[in-house]
Amino acid sequence: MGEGLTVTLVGNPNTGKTTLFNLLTGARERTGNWTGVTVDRAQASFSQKGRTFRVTDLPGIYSFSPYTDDERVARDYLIRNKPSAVINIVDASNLERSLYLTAQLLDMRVPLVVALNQMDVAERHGMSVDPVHLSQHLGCPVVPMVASRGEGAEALKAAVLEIAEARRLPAARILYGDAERSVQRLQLCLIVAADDAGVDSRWLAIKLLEKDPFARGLTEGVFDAIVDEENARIARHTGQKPEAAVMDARLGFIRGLAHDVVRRRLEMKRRLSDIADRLLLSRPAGIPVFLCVMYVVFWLTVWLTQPLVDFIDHVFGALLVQGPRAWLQAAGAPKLVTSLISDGLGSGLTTVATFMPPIFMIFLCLSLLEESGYMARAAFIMDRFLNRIGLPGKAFIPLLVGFGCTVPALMATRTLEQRRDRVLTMLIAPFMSCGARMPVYAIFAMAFFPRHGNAVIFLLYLTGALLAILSGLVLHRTLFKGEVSAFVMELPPYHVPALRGCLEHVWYNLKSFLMRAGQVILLIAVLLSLANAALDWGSAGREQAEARRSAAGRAMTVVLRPMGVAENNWPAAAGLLTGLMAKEAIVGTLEVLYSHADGGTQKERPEQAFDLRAVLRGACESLAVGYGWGDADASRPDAGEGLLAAMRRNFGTRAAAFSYLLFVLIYSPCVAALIVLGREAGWRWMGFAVLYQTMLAWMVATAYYQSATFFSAPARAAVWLGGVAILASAGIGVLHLLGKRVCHEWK
Amino acid sequence: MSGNEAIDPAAQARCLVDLADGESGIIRTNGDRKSTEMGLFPGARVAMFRNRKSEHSLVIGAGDARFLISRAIAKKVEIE
Repeated sequence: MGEGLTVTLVGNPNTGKTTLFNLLTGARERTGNWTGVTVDRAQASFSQKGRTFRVTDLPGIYSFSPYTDDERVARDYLIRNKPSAVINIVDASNLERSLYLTAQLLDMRVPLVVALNQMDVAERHGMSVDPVHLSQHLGCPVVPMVASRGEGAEALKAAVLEIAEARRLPAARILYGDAERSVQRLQLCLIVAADDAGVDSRWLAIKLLEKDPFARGLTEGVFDAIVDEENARIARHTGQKPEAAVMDARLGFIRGLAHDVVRRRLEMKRRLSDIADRLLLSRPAGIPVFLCVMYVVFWLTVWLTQPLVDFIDHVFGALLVQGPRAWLQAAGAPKLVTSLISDGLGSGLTTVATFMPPIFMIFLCLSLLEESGYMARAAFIMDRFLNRIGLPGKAFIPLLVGFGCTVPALMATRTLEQRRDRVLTMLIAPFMSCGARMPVYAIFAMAFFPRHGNAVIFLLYLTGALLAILSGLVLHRTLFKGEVSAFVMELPPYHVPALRGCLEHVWYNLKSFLMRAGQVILLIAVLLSLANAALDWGSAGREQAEARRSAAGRAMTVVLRPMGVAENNWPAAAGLLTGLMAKEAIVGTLEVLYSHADGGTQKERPEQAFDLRAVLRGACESLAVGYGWGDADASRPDAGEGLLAAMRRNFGTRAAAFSYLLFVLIYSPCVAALIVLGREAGWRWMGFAVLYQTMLAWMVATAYYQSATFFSAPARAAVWLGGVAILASAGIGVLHLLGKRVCHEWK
Repeated sequence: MSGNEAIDPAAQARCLVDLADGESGIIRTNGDRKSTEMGLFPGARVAMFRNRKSEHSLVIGAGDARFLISRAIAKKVEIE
């Protein structure tokens, strides 16, 4: 019956906007206790008296100012889409603050319904808000609600239906005091232009006086002269900047409104959250608690998920790589098809699947930290440390995410307002050793450091964090000069996290990650396998193909020799190349190439009968051993002594192995991370990250290897160490020079 | 009380950073637009929950909300 109507939900962060969206539509949007839960627009529908409403949930914002991306997006959405009704969710316990956005909606002249949410919280805090009186002042319906308990939903739907069908605009208008005359004069000039742009002429006049670039774009600067004239008049009369005069008048309207409709019985008092903050933000307790929380996150994401990664690697490897290869070979399929399906598609899918446990766990931890309200406190604790490298405390959150996976870490920088902070954080986040590097560390620890494997792995994580700090210091003094940006952040009250909401958030992120990174990884896996097959095809025989591969590999070791990768250890160099696709691919590459290079027994593997049951049993045993429930000797069928012995033979010394691990830790992020970096920071910064990290990796690995082997060849080591020192100095010099060229980007 | 003329008005102007732990005041002016839009506007009562010289940020309460605010911004908020 009738056409569908559109409703847009607008409100401050932490006012229960997403809860209301879910209540109205029955959707499963994630709710949170952290600013910016609704990252993108969410849409769902509900019906009321035969009319269907399409509801759009916009990001939580404090105003429609043009200074941040989310506020710009929300404002542009309202102007371009002209919804049938706008629900402005207002926090009754923080009415004055919420009314700033309401005042701007009144100026925009949209069909408005105010949802006065959290009436229970206001009551608990000794406040009473009169919705009838508020409705009279605003000239639009005001519905008192407790969205978390579903109270007021039906009344809200009825009010929305009434306003949307009649497209009734609010009766109230804000008068702008000393600026009012200028608003009216300008409004008269703008009637045609506003009509052409599809906006209200009064709103356009106010925005032009506030020097809003979007409004100026709508009028194409045609009215600049008259705007300047009116602004000069306001400045003369008020002694204020015009935007300040407009804001003062708006605030005056809000104060008057709040004074009329709010009755406060109790003074502001300390809440339970405030008492908890006294402890958790204090130095004696705050830092130890913070370190404990970080340790638990680290333990959960790194140690707890590693056996699962191995398990998935074995199971998916069996089902998608070894199985299809055996079945296709048995069916006599062409080699190209076999290679494409098993080595390309199968390997790609397996790689993507192995990302799941650490990504799941890091997002679960982050979600729990957000929901509980602790995340904002962690930003406070880290503030003073991050300030030293020119970053605000908020930048700590993406860095923490980096321990799980670099891709979401880069995405998480969106919470930072300044571009300078975002790019600097994106450049140092990859030093936080991601979960994908763990399999590489683990296999090297087994081969070279069987007794102190855990200490070596911990040392690598620590080295990554130290390099992030050092890089931050260097970049802050060269390319990213400038003051630490000031910030205001709301501290949400502590909550007991809702597990369901957290799991929904995790699922949303996991799905998004798998779709995004999965496509790239799959594509590259398929291309690599095609290239491999083409090499086989173009060679006279298997020997010639192997000879070409090893020649290419040997050429690659040239630059890696000073860090201990010998000429015959070309599979290590090839591993670094495939590691660009995904870091854990290094282990698989080493395994395959060592078996080829050594001409060992594994060459016969394709002809061996594929036994799915045996592989699955091996995977389960490996999982049990990983969690300490089984017999270690029975596990790791694939990563057996063959590979470990080949690694020991090819690397020769512990120094060479550790130097290789340092390189793996530091060098260029994987392709998926690079693509996100390019999209978020720009392709120029992506190129810089590849170059900077790879050069730093080479310098650190070479410096370590030459120092460790100094006494066996002092002259050679001295030359290389001197070379590294010269290169590092030259690098810092270049960064200084570049800094002069890019500093304008941060202004 | 007369005698206000004896007091230097500049000496009376206090910023948010000048509030000690537990002190409260009413915002007279706020020179920072973002924090104003977030609720720290003139006339709002604010209470200082944490102000340590060694820390770059302050923890304040305004109404029912709690904020982490950089000193640089807090210096732009005048209190009466």
